[in-house]
Amino acid sequence: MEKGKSRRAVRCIEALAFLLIFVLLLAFVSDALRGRDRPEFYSERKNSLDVLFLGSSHMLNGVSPMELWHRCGIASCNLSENGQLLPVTYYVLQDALDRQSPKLVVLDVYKVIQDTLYDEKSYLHTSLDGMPLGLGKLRAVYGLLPAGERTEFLFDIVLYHDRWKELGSLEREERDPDFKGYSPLYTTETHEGFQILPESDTSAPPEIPVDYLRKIVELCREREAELLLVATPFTTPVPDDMDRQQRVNAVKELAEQWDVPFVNMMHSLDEMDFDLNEDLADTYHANVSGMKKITDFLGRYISERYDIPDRRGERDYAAWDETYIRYAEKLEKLEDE
Amino acid sequence: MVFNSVDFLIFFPVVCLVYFIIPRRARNVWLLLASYYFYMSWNPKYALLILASTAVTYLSGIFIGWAGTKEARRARALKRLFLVLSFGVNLAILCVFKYLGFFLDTVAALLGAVGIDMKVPALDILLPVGISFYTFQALSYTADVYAGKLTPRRNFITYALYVSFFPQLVAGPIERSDHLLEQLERPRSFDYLRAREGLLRMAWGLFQKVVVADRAAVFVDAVFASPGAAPGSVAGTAMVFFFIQIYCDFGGYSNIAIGAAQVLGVELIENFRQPWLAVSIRDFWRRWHISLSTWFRDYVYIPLGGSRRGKVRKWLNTVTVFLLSGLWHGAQWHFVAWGLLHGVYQVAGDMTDGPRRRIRAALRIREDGALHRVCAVAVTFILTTAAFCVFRAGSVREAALMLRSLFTDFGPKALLSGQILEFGLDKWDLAVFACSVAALMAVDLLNERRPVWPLLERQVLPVRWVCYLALIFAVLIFGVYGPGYDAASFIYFAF
Repeated sequence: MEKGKSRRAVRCIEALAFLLIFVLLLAFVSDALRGRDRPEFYSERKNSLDVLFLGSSHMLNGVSPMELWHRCGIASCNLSENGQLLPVTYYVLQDALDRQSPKLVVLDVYKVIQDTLYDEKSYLHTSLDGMPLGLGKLRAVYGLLPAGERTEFLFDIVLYHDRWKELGSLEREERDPDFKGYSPLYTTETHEGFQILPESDTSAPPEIPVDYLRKIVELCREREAELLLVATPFTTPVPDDMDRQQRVNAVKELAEQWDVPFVNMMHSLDEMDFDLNEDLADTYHANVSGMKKITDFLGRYISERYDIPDRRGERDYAAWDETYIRYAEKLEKLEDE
Repeated sequence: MVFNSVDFLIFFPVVCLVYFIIPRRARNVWLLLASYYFYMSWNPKYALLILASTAVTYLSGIFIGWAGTKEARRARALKRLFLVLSFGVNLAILCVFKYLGFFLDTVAALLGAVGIDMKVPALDILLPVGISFYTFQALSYTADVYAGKLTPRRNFITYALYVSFFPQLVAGPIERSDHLLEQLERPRSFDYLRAREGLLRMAWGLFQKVVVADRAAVFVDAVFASPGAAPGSVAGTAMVFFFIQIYCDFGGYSNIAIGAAQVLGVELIENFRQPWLAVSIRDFWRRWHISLSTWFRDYVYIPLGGSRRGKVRKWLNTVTVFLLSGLWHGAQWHFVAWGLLHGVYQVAGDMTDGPRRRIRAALRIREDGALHRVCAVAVTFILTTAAFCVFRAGSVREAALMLRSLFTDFGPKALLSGQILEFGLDKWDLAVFACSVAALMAVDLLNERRPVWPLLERQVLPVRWVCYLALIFAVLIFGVYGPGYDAASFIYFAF
C-alpha cells in the first residue's frame, strides 16, 4: 500500500516535471521563432517610465522617446503600432499600466475614424505578439477576437513555426530596442495645396472608437495617470477622405466633455514650424524631420504643463544616455542607407 | 474535429480526465456521449445515420439470437432473413450517401453512349464522415452473431459505443466485435505506463501526419495538378512521395487512434505494418490497412468460397474482393481501377508462382536470402507505387498521362537543375522531408524486428524525455499546419 502510494507520488512528480520542461521549452522556442518582442518596454525596470505614447502609425513614426530624453530628460516609451485601432490600444494600455505607473499617457486619436475592433490580423499580431502571455494578453485576445481565432495569438507558434527557415538569416523583423518603440521614415512627400479644414468643421466619429476612447479615459482615471489626447499632422490622398479631418476635429468636443486635454496639431502647424511639404514621409506619416518637430513640440507642451521629472543624471537612468548615443548614430546611419 | 486540430487537443484531455474520475459504471456512458459529440462536430445530422446503423445491427443481433431458439430449419431461414435485412439496410444507407451520384452518372454516361439523353438530378448529399468505416464495423457484429461467433448483446449503451468509439470512428482501424466489444464490456482503470505509451504513439502519429504526409502533399498536389507536364523524374518523385504521403497520412491517423484508445485502456488492432517492406503484393495487403483487408477476407472472400473451389474461382474471388475494396475507397472509377490493378497483380503473382520458383531453383537463389528479399521489396514497391498513381490521379486518363510521362525525360537533369524546387517545397522543406523520412524508416525497421514503443519505454528517463521532446517539437516546428505565416504581410512598412 505504502509502496503503491510512493510510486504514484513519484509518477505525479515525473509527469509535472515533464510538463514544466515542455512549457519552458515551448516559451523559449516561441520567442525565438516570433522575433517580435519589445524588450524596450517589456524588459524595462518596473515603474521606471514616466510617459507612455500609444496609438497608430502616426504616433509610431511621429514621436521618438530618445529625442525626448535628449531634450527634456523625460523617460518614456512609444508603444504605438501600425494599424493599431483604439480598441487594441485600450488593451495594450491596460497591460502596460499593469507593468508601469506612468504619470502621463499620450494617446494618438487618429484611428477614431475607423469603426472596427481591429484592422488586418497581421496588424493585430504586431500589436499583441510582443506582449508576454499573461492576464493582459488574455483580456486583449478574448476582448478583440471571436472564438476560433484566438489560438494563433495565445500560442503564436501556430503561426510562426514556419520561420525556422529564416532563423540565422538577416531578414528578421525585430525592431531595434534602442529606438524605444519609435520607427523612423526617411522619405519626403510634398502636399501642395492640401486644404486644412477649420477646427469647427466636424463630423461625428463612429461608435466603436468613441466607446473605447471613453474606456481609455476611465482607465487612466482609475490608474491615476494623466491622459493627453493628440493628433499628429497628416494629409489625405483624395478630397473624399476629408471626413477624416472632420472626425479628428470632433474629438475636441468629446475631450471637453470628458475633461481631458486634446492637442490637434493640424491647427498648430505654424507654431510647430511643421511644413506639409517637407516633414511628411508620405500621406500620413512624419519623416525624421517631422518627428523631431512633433517630439519637440510635445516635449515643450509636457514640460510646461505636467510635473514630469528630468531624469538626466539620475543613477538609475545612466544607461539612457548611452542608449541615446547609440540611437543617434543609428538614426544617422539609417538615413545614409 | 480532426485529430490534428486544437479542438482535439482540448477535447481529448478533458474526455480522459473525466473518464478516469467518474465511477466505472458511468464510463461507457461518458465515452458514448464524447463519441457522439466528436462525430456531431462535423455535422449534427450525421448522428442520426450512425444511430440508425447502430439500432439496426443491434436489433439484428437480438433477432438472430431469438431465431436461434426456433426449430432448426426455421431458425436457419429466420437468421438468414435478419442477416440480409441488416446488411441490406446498412449497405442501402451507404449506397445512397456514397454511391448514388456515382451510380447515376455512370448510368447516364452509358445511356449517353447509346444515344439516350438522361438528366442526372443534382444531388445535394454530403458524404458523412467515416460512414464506410463504422458501417463495416457494425456489420461485422451482425455477421459474427449470425455465424455463432458471438452471443447477441443486450446492453445498448456498450454496443452503441462499440459502433461509435471516437478514436477509431472516422478512419479506423475497423474493429471486430469479438475484439473491441468485449474490451468495452470489461472494467478499465488508469494505467500510467500504458497511458504514457499511448501518448507517445499519438505523438508519433501526429509526426507522420503533420510533418511527413502534409509536407509530401504539397509536392504531390503540385505535380498531379497538371498530369504529364512535369518531367519524368519529377513525376516519379511525386509518385514515390505519394506512397509516403498516403502511408503516413493514413498510418499516422491509425497510430493516433490506437494511441488514444490505449490511453483510455482499450487495445485496437494494428492497421499498418511497415508496408514499404512488403516482399509481394499479397504480403503488402497483410501490412496495409490490415483491418480492412481482413474484413474483406472474412466477410466476402471466405463466404465466396475463398481458395477452396479451384484456382479459377479463387482468382475470380480475389478480383471481386479488390474491385469492392477499390469501390470502398471512393465512388470514382479510378479507385475501382486501382482495386482491379491490385486484383490483377495478385492473380498474375499466383499464375507466375510456379515458373518463378523453378527459375529461382535453377539459379540457386534462396527465397529467404538478402538479395532476393531486396529485389522483391523493390519490385513490390514499384508495383504498389504505380497503382497508387492511379489512386491519386483525378481519373484513369490522368493516371495514364502521369505514368506515360515516366518514359519521357526520366534523366536526373530536372532533379539536379533545381527544377524540383518549383513544386511548392523549397530546399529547406526537402531537407526536413528527407530527415523525417529517414527517421520514419529507422523506426519502421526497428518495428519490423519488435515493437519499438515498449522498447523506448524501457530506456532511462533522460533518454525517454529527450525522445519525447524531440518528437513533440519536431511536430510543432516542422509540421505543416496553422494559418500559414505570410512574411509579406508582416514586414514592417507603414500604411
